[in-house]
Amino acid sequence: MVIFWSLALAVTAIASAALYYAGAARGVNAGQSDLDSPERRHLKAQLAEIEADRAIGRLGDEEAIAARAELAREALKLKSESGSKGGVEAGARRAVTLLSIAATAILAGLTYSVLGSPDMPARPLAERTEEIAAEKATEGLSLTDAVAKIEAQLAQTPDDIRGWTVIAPAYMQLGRYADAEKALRKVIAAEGPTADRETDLGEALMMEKGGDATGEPMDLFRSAAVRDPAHVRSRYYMAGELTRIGRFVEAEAAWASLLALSKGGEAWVANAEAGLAFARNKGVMPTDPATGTPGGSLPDQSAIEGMVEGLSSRLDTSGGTIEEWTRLVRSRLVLDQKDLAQKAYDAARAAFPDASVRTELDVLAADNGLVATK
Amino acid sequence: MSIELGHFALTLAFAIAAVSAVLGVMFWKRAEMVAGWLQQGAVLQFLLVAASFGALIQAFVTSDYSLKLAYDHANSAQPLIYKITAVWGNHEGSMVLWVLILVIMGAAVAAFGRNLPKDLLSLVLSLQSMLTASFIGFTLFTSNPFLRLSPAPFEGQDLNPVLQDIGLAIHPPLLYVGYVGFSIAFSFAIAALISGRIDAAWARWVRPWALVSWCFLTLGIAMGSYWAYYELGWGGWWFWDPVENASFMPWLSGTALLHSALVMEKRNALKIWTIFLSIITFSLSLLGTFMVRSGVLTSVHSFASDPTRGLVILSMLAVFIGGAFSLFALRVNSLRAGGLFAPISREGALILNNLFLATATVAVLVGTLYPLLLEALTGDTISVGAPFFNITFGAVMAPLLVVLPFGPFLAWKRGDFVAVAQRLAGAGALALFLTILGFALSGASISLAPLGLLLGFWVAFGALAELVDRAKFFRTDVMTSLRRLVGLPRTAWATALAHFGVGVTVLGIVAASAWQAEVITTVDTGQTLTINNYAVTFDGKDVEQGPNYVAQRGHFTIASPAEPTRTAIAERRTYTQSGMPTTEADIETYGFSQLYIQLGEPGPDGKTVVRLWYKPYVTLIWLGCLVMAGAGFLSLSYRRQRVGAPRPAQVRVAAE
Repeated sequence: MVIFWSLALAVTAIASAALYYAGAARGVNAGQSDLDSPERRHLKAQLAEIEADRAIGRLGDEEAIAARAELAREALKLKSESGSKGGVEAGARRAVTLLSIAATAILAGLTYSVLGSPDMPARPLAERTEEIAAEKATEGLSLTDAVAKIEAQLAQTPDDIRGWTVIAPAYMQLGRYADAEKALRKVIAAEGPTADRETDLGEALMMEKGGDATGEPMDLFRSAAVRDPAHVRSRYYMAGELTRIGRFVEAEAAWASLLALSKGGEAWVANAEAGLAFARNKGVMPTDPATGTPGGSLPDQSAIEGMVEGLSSRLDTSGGTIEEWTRLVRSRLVLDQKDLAQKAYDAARAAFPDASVRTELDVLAADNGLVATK
Repeated sequence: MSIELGHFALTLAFAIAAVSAVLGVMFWKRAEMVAGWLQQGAVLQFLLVAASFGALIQAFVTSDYSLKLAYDHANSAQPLIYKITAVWGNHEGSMVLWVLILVIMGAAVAAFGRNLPKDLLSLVLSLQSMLTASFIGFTLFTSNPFLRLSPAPFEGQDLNPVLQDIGLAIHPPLLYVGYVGFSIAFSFAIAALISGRIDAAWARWVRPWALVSWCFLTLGIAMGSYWAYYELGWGGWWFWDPVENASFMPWLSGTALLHSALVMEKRNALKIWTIFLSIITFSLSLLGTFMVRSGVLTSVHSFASDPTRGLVILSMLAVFIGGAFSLFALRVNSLRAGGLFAPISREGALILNNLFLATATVAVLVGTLYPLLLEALTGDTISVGAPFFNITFGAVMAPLLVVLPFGPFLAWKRGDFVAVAQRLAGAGALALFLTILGFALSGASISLAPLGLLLGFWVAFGALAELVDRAKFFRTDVMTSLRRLVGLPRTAWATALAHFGVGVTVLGIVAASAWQAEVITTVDTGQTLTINNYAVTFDGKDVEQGPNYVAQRGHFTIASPAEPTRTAIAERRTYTQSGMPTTEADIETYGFSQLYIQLGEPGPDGKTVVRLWYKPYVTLIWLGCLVMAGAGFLSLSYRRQRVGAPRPAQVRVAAE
């Protein structure tokens, strides 16, 4: 608001200065004598034209003489008129100009203060990506629509890092891992790496390769763990990957150091403990040896199960979007937990009674034989 | 912030204009006192309004829906060009465009007016400022484009789909330059009435402004007509719609003004006519603005109707027009009489021209206003349709067109009608021959159409005959004539071309109206329709997704005897945001003629309705207008002194 009024004042000041310069400071008739008035110039030009016309024979001598006499009379008349004019005092001119400037500034200021909204900022859509995402969460704007909208804005303002930051997790939710990777790389390139950003990027790369974290994802997790000695997610993925590829000794150490960070009661602790036991047992689930073909009960499966449980408990306790419920039902179905899927579906229907927002979920449920009970 | 700065810039321009208006009227007799301020003020008004307009454009382009105007009339899915044109595709924004052009004109007077007498300049600038202050005031207080919304919506409503067309980028700005440009002639006329300063020099200063406005108005009307023709989807190019009439009336009186100002500049005659026409023309522009902007008319142009706005414009109209005519009545006797001339002379012909054009203007005015007044007074709604206008307007224009070719041949001061008729005999014979030929070839039944053709050819060839005559073709050897033709002053070329353009337009109107063919039917895929030697085959439909619409597209193949086969696509679009449909006709141009294909609704039996028109020589209508406007610009480029040399006579007559 202060900035606005300073700018408005500056504009007014510049305009006033220009008006003062033109109205009072600069001489108006400098260099213009009566002999050079516009009327006289016009008469001279006409005289020249008459001469030219006579020279090429378009005008007879008699007409030319008559016309010249007419022009001469006009010129005399002008001279007598202009002679009677008095000059204008510089002081009077300055007074009129200053008064006028004051009137202008007051009129403009009054009018604007009645009509204007000086405290309202501009809200171009490109700078509102976070709001759009929030809107999506609170008003149920579909995730796909929100992403499409943010993408459209980003196409025009590709340097809007906040936009990329907002859109990356949305891409992850929609399973568009390659797009998420692209967005995250932009964010890291522009604003530098942090433990969270590196882990996010690693996660995206890992999901792109169907859960394989070898190579760059692993390097990113390591780098994140180094960057933040208390970073949980990166260590969790590292431990999971070491277990998956069968480096159980390192995996055991990794799970142990992860568990050391626990303050107790976190959702991931149960999974980490299961992972630790699994690694100690060299790849066999100790509690359930019967299912234990090595690799048959993959630890990353347990990691996935842990994430699903986490999502489930969060949705049960604090609710969530319809997309998250749909994701939960889908995960339950993938994990072949049909009963739990049915339970999640029932809960989702209770949370979102409006069928129009549930289309994707209802289709998924119907395809997999879940029942919609009244 | 930029929006609010734009808003502030507009209020500051308003304040400068208001103070300038008062200053000029108070001090014009001591013009040295205020001339500097007024000139600088005009330039500042332009800069500030331009900044304010820029702020609106920026808000639209960046989809800033905290601006209510952008929310109401734009959508983030629109292509960039329509985000920009949407700024003036609505009432508030178009008023800002109107004001912008007004201040551009004012700044141009200030910049190019350094050779004007200071008192005249001060009065003109002060009157322009008065207009500017009134219109910015109207905009700010009754239709403020800078209203804000909080919280800002995420998506805007759409622009009326009919307006989502390149036409909106061109038609309003052209038309507004035309309308508003006449304000300069108006201000000059009022200034002349106040100061009593009116002479050939005055006419020389006014004429270019009137000419520029007239050229742009011509282009604007032609563009509007072509836009309606291709976008509204039923092939009509002029509807005598009140809004069209609103632009046509200033054109008619502006045409008369041009001719009067010419006489005044060359001969110092027709002063009262010129002043009168200057006032009338801008008054009609204001009246047009009132009719379109007040909501008394409902059409694609009246974006919103609001009785308050109507009343405010009406009172502005009353003040400006009433004030101007009162001043005219008071001061007209003090104007010095102009030069003398005989009835049969160039001056006489131009007065005849003025009378005809003024009568035509009145005819259109009556037809346009009568239903409105009747409805306002008695509540009865009647509609004055095309037949009324065609008959009354035609009845006035036909004699004008008959005598038009004579005008340029007549000498200043006193002319010889018989001699002119002899010199025009060739053009008349040629016109008659071509008419009979065209009539015979077309095989049409007896009607008024051949007379229309004859008139068109007569005007066109009569105009060219003047060039032929002045170049002395057939009276000396060809090479000398060609050299003379090239050496003719540009004004002679401009006159001939402008009149030639009138003839061309008349020919287009007559041919397209009299010999149009139409087929409306339902078709199956693969079916072929025949219209005027063209075989049009319907190849089926598909659906295309546009940026903010879904289009049903009908594919056609057109076989013609003379040209290679063409394919055509006619669309019906439905705009996603508003759900409004539009038709996008396919128009194929063959020579000067056009084939117009419109895809209709799907029929009940699975067939598709298709409308076909064949419009012979229809493009001549707009080409003629282009020629007229081009001739105007040509004349504008010629800035030598214009002195009308009188025809030698036995008695010497002084010019006064």
